Amino acid sequence: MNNTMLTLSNISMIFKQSDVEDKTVLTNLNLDILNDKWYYLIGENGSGKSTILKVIVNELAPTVGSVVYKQIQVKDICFIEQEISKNLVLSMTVFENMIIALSAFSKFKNNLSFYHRKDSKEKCKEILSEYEMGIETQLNKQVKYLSSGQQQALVIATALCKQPKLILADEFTSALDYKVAPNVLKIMFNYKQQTHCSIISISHNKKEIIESAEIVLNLRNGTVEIVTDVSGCLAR
Amino acid sequence: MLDALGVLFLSPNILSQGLILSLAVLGFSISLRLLAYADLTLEGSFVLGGVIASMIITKGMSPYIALSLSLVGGMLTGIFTACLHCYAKINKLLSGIITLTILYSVNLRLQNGSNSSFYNLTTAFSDLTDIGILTKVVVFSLLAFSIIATILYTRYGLLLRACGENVKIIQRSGHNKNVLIVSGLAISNALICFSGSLFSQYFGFSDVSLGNGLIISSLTALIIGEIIIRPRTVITFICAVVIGSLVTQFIYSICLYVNLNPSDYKGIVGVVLIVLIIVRRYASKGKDTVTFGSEVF
Amino acid sequence: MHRVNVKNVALLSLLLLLTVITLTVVGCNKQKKVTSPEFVVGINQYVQHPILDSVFVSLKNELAKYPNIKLIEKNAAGNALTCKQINDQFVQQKVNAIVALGTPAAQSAIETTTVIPVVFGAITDPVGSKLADSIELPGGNKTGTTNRWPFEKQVSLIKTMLPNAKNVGILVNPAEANCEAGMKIIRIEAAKYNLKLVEVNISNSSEISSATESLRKRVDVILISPSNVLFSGLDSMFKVASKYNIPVLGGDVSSVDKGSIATYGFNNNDVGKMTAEILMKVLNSKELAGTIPVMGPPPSKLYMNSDMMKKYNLTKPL
Repeated sequence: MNNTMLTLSNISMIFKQSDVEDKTVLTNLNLDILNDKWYYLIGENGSGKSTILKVIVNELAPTVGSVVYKQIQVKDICFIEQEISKNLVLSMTVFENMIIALSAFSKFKNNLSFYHRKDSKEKCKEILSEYEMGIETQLNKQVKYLSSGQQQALVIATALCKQPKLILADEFTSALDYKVAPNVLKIMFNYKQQTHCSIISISHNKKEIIESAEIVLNLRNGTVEIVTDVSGCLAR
Repeated sequence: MLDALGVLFLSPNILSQGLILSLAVLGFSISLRLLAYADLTLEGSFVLGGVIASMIITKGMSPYIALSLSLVGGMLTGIFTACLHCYAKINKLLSGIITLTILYSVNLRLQNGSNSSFYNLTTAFSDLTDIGILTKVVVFSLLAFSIIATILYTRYGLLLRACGENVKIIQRSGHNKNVLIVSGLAISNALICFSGSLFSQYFGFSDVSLGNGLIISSLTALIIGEIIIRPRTVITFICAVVIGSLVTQFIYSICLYVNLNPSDYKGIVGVVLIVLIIVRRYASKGKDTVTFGSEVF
Repeated sequence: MHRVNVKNVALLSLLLLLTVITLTVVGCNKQKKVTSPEFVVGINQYVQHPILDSVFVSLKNELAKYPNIKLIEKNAAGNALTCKQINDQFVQQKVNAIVALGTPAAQSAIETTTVIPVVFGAITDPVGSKLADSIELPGGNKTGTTNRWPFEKQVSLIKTMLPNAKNVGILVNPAEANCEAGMKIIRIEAAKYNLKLVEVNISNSSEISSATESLRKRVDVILISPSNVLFSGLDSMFKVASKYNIPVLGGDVSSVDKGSIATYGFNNNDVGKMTAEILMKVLNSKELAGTIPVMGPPPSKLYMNSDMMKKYNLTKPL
């Protein structure tokens, strides 16, 4: 059955440090990421969860081993970082941030057109209104003046409009309050239903994991194991 | 006394100088605020503008050829600096200093000496009254400002603005940050060089020392403009640069008028800059000291 | 939405106003009140520099003899933009003449006005820097004085003092117009006497020491070039030269006190006096300033440093 999106084969990651001992984060890690699945990565702090994501998106080169992209390319992967400020340009407006996301991988020729256009404004409004957080009425507001919930919703919006086939989300709900988080998760879920993409999330939120996860991976001692008893594992 | 000050402020010469310099300040601000690149090439490419003017004008060719060639020359210096940073991986500040140092020799070679006079030669401002000169300067600068505004309102300009604050976003969206930095510095230095060319033609001579102190005075002008108009859009940003340059020129001419001791000038500029940066912090209540682009200085 | 922040504008304008008031008070006290002057003369000095300063002081002393002349003294602190602004202000104040000391000050003066007479002072090469069409007939509204050193005599001094010298070292700053102008003459003169010039470039005074070092064993004598950079760091050159026993010749009069063996030169005060003289001519003449020939340099005399003469066993030339 050829349902594998990408394969991590035999990955080891050793961070060389000059004054202390080298730090081994991943050892001989083998993992297949399948289509249309929502993965959750759990593990202690410093166990290498974020490192795996960075290796997948090709921002970190593993010390040993390689990532084999089978049904997708690197540009089909969208990486949402933990800190909101790294996913947005804070001094720009909501609209301008959306345009940057929408012009991803566009041809140079397209970049020479003006961005203040009515149709693109309408499109942004349409996308943002799905989030029911009132961002669509604040298109011309600088992002740094939005609430953190609104900012995170915008992060998701900019990520999804790139039509990714694999989304890597590093603790993206941690900045949201309990009222907003389900809403954002629902949008992610709907997107996954429509496009059959895969998602790899990192989270410490037990409720969220139990509700959304299809496969939970526990990262321990440099390798991953698939967890069957989620609540039992999280209780430890 | 106040009467004299009024006359000074309205003097077309001060407006002309302020406008010509505002082109250089805009170039500097584009690299500083949009690309977060403190580009010290400024003092060199400004002089290069004058040197190109002297090469063309003393050969009896049209001053407008000199102006257009200065755009090309400025672009080349910008590209050179940016390549030092992007491809040779040299630190941003250092790459500017290296280009500046090289330009010193290049300028002396090209001009065949340190100083070249345009006396009795045709410059862009020959045979014009003060008002005539001002009109021409206004036309040139409006043209330059609208071109820059047009560029910044395209998607490319948007990416340029994002590049300084968050390079990762640019890279993850599949754009090449090096192309953006190189082209951005090319645009900014083209403006600076153009300003230098206009400046030397306005003065009637080109001298390798014309650029001395330009970095500090540009920074002063930019910060003054940003305090007066807290810019949040491209248009207000350009306005801030222009108003900042005009106010700076006005202050300079007051200092001159009241006959300050010349050896104190640099000290005064330094103190003014310190005061301005403190005022900026106070006025913004500790957050948002720079409202448009990234805060490098 | 993008409104001007009223509070900041108020703050900034308050600051500006304070500056203006302080400066005005300071400035007003400085300006002397002269009763009903007939002539107002603006003096624009390019930069503070020993030679320009002494020309300026002697010019001022000379003009103090005429109570009907009011002086407005400005110094551009080495900034070309300031030069231009000073000249603009002179034109606005409708001065009767502008005295410009230093090449950039003079160049910007003749660009600013073609009506008000411009008297330039202490310019090495008025024709080369286009300040005068020719020495005899400067043309337009411009005339003045030159303080060109007697380079011909200074080079010939090498031959008379040190007849065996073959290689002559010289530190040159190509970025200075006056230095380049002087070098043109020095190169021609040296060729006449079959002297080989060893030119070493310097761009600031910190390089003088190592540049002099590099001349060691390559030259028999060092000649002082008319560079301002060299002028401000002459002492470091003399220090190295005396360490390696290389005789130094030439320079202006003050260089002889510092360690130059001998030179032909003139007192800079004489240049100031000449500038005052030509200014009075311009003010009192009904003709255009450009019809008055450029004056100077003043007649030169031989100056010698007896300690140095002894050190190198030299005798006074005949």
